[in-house]
Amino acid sequence: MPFLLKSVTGLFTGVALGAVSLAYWPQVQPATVAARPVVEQPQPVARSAPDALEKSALDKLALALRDAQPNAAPAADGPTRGLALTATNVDFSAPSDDARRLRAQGLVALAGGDVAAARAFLERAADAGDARALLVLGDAYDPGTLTRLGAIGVKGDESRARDYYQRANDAGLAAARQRIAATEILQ
Amino acid sequence: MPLTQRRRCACLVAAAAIATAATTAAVAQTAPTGDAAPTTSAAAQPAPASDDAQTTPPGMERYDHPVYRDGRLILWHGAWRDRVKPKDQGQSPKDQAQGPKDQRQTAAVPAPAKPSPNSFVLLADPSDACATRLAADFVAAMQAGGASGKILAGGVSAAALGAAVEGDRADLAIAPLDALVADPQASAVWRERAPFIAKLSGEPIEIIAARDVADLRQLAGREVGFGPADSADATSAAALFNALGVAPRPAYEPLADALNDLAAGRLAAVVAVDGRCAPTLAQFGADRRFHELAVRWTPALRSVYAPARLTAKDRPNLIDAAERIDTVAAPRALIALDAAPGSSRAQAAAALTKTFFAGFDRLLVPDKDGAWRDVNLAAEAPWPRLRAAQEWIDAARPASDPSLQTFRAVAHDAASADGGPAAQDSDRLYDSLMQWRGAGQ
Repeated sequence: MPFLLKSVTGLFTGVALGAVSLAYWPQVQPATVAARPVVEQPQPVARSAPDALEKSALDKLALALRDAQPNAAPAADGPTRGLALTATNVDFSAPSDDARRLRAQGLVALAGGDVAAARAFLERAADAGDARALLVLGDAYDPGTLTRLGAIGVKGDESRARDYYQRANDAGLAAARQRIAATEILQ
Repeated sequence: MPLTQRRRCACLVAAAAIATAATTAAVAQTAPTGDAAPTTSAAAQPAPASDDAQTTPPGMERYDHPVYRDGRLILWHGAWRDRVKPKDQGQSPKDQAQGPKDQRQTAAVPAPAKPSPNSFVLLADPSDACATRLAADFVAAMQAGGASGKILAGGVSAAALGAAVEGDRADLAIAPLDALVADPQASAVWRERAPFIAKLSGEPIEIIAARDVADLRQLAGREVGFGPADSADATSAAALFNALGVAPRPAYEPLADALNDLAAGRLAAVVAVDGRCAPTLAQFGADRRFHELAVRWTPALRSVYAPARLTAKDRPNLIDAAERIDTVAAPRALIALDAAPGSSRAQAAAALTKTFFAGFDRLLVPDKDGAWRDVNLAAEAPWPRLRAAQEWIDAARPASDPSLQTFRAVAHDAASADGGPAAQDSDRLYDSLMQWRGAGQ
């Protein structure tokens, strides 16, 4: 009997505690939330401030290494996600129809101002052996080209642009020399 | 019964009582706010005709749906309104609420106060962590520009957008463009009524499966986790599989649950579009039993998808060190809801657009999501743009020279061809680009 009494007492204590908790339960409206305080903010996965600093340091290191090795690929973690390095040991002598189609799609995207998509298509085309895609990739990163294209917001990356121009030059595109010269004048 | 068992029973009963009470209270708190997904609650169902016949005052009728403003319930289902009030089907809900003064006076329920022209509610998918982060950034930047905004958590499928418009719950939305563009029915409904303001950065679509699944086509007829119903993940997953001609059986559940089911062998694969922002996915697959499936870009995907690539740096548990997984990026856009050309809502969206564009640099700082830095406000999309947005862009851009116009015309010509740009268009486009670039040097 005392055990039963204690059990019942425990039950009532629990219910009472629950009722008190509910009385002071904060009023929230899950459907309508203020911008930052209420919406759950996931932990930054990429490109937080420390990442940016680290990336900046890595970019500088990569640039220094590239100066020593002109044919090396650009830094991997660039401003456009989902893009990896273009391959460095690619045969550019005879681009396939697929590669040329990807270049065409990239040029269409660039003309429409969809710079991120243009870069993605052109990376694929360059990987598939299209040397001209390397030069257009340089344009897609060239701050001067983006300004003349009328891009608003998205920023260029001069070092990446120069790197792609250099690789286009190495692949035998004479037009790339003009681009390299232009970027050197601007420096 | 031993003492310890009896005490345990008592505690369990108490805990159950508290849990029941808490659940009831939580439901009571959340019920008025509603959700953007089509509701199936009893409150949203039309009242029985017999009840109405008995209780309806002369000349009055019930609202057949709840009405929300700024995410708050202002008119509940069942509220009376004047039956003789004319209802212009061509007007948007906001237009109707702001109708002529004499009509408002005769209404049984007074029309809500007109909101500030620069206040807004932004609809974003709560299960899409990247979109939620973008939405929070957007609202903060808009507030810094003098606008007042809130986020409404809700689905972003075509049906969910329809529910949000029907309830007048949101002005803007971060929505996946692929489903709207690819679905002829959604396109017909929303093409004019939901113009885009800016195309946002696409997110790679990730499809995680056991290593014995080597190709997407092996998923046909098998159960695949699509994310919650009406979510951005589910919408983009359905659109992508449809475009690829593969028909898996969708399972609608949150990413964490879907990954658990995948690990337990209950699902054949899981689709995630917000993997960049989902810590759950980053931790998944440490036992190396799973991998990322490639989505090869084909011309069939050209209208909306761009290529994307994942490496071991993105998913060390799912991608081998030397491996690169090609996939596609799901396009997103900031769209204005129910903002057909010439409507009052289009005017309100125009004011918001000017604030957004003029203060866009606030989003390009380190504490904001890096995806903003990939956004070109002037980027085109296979979807109509809000006229005010286009006018702002045209005014902000430098005058384009004739060679740039030629390049654009050649690109438009190539894109308009059946099957999209072909290999033989590549050199014509390249020459056109070279002429443009040469003209400015």
